[in-house]
Amino acid sequence: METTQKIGEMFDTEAVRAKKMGADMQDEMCLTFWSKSHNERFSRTVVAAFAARLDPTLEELSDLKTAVSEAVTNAIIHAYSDEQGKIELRAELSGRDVIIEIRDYGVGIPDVKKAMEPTYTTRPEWERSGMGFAFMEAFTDELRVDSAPGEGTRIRMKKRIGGT
Amino acid sequence: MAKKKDEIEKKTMRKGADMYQEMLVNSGKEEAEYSVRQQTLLIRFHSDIDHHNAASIRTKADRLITRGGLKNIVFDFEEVHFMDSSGIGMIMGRYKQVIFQGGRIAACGVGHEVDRILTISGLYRVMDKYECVREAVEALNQKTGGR
Repeated sequence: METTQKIGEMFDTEAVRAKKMGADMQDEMCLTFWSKSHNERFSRTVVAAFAARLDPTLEELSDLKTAVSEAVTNAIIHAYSDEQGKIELRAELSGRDVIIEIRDYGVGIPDVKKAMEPTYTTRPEWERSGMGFAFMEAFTDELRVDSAPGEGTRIRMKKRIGGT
Repeated sequence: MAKKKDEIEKKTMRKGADMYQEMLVNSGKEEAEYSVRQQTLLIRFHSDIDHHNAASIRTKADRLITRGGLKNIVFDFEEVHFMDSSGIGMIMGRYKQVIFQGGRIAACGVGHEVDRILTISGLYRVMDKYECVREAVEALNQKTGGR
């Protein structure tokens, strides 16, 4: 998809640019955990702690926590059906940007475009509002979803801390 | 004598470890406090509202509504500093429940973070916000003729 390709390029360019500038704020972390619902809160806390170094406002922190919560919750609910599987949370600080990647090795999304439609959900019986992706998009500057059946799902989000 | 002491020590350590494990797994208090005010169920949340909590809130709330023949729900967000779309789904689900009986839902104690989520999700179209619990409960019981 053309749009996703452009976003991917943006990611790379920013990181390369930051390295060239010798940006002070360069850091990276990676965390792996089981697809258990108590890890939703855990992952929010971890990202908030990690992003704290950029001195975000409460609102920016809230945005990040919500976006991460949505992505991690999606993985926990959908990726592994009734079994447990691993979820990887990666976060990177690059200049004033926080780049977050949430990845699972589960069932994958057959139609990404459809999945991202607001209020679309494959679990209406669980009272899923279907707003997960809408929230992720609302609270981050860039969002990229890569997924295919049987190949897991990777969600990448980017947010600039401290204005444009 | 020394051997017996060792054994006791080992047992205590193991028990301590088990208790600690249990504490970690079941970490925290109840996610919410439920009470009844005439025809209204009052839910006072004690922590974040996310997918992890939403299911048990849903179960308890529905049970109380059914058993008590309750009509309305007031959500008290005073202690809530985080809510995501799972919380929205839970509220929508409760709304669908009570509207069937001509009931209503309301929010109070809404802080900044929760307010943003409620606004963005459009939930204020079906739920009014009040300053405090008493106001909310009175308003709902009045409007739906609660007795």
